[in-house]
Amino acid sequence: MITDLQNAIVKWAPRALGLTEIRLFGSALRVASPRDLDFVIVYDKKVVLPARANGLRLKLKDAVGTVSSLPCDVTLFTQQENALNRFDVGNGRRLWPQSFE
Amino acid sequence: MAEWNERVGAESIEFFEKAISGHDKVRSLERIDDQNYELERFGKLASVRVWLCDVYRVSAADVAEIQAEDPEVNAIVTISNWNDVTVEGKEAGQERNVGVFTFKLLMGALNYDGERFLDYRPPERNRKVGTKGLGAH
Repeated sequence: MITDLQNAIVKWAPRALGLTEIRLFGSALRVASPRDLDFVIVYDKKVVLPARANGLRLKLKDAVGTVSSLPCDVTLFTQQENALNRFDVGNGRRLWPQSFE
Repeated sequence: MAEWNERVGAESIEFFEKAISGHDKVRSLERIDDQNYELERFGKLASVRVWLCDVYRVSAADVAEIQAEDPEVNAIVTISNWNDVTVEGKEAGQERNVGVFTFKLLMGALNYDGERFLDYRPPERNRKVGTKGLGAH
């Protein structure tokens, strides 16, 4: 499923202004049949104001909806919020930008 | 992990309504819809319109979305004990005259109006003796 999610996200994410990172976290990383999908979107508030960031959430849900019918919860963080909260929320697995290490 | 516009669970709603109704500054509590409450307070304290949610970390984007959904909101509270508010979420609220609180902080903030309401912080406690703000003497 994670590969499917990555493939769906990569079709949209490179064109999304201000988007800096998408991570998947929560039960989807631990169990085969999760009840939902939890994502963190990190954005650059110099490019996308917080009041406009919901567009990224909607676009991510659209992309995920092409490969999964699971409910999808998205946390939107500025880069600063992410730096201060990522260990609370959990590092999760980065889906975009993809790491090829 | 809930989003800002997801209805809070029934147990949390019951807890919220019971606790707020018992606050000594609250005259009445009216549920407007799934996530909105109007609180009237005693004396000269202004009414408060609360947006109730269960967001794990209330962010600046959440605050903007909630205010766009209901411009009359002047308090956002995230109910579960393990929830919190990001620094930028708090600041985004203050810029809009909206207090953004955990439940515990809302209970303290309801004693105040204006800046003290928006920027309510609990009194520091001396951990050794459990007294308010007296320092370690």
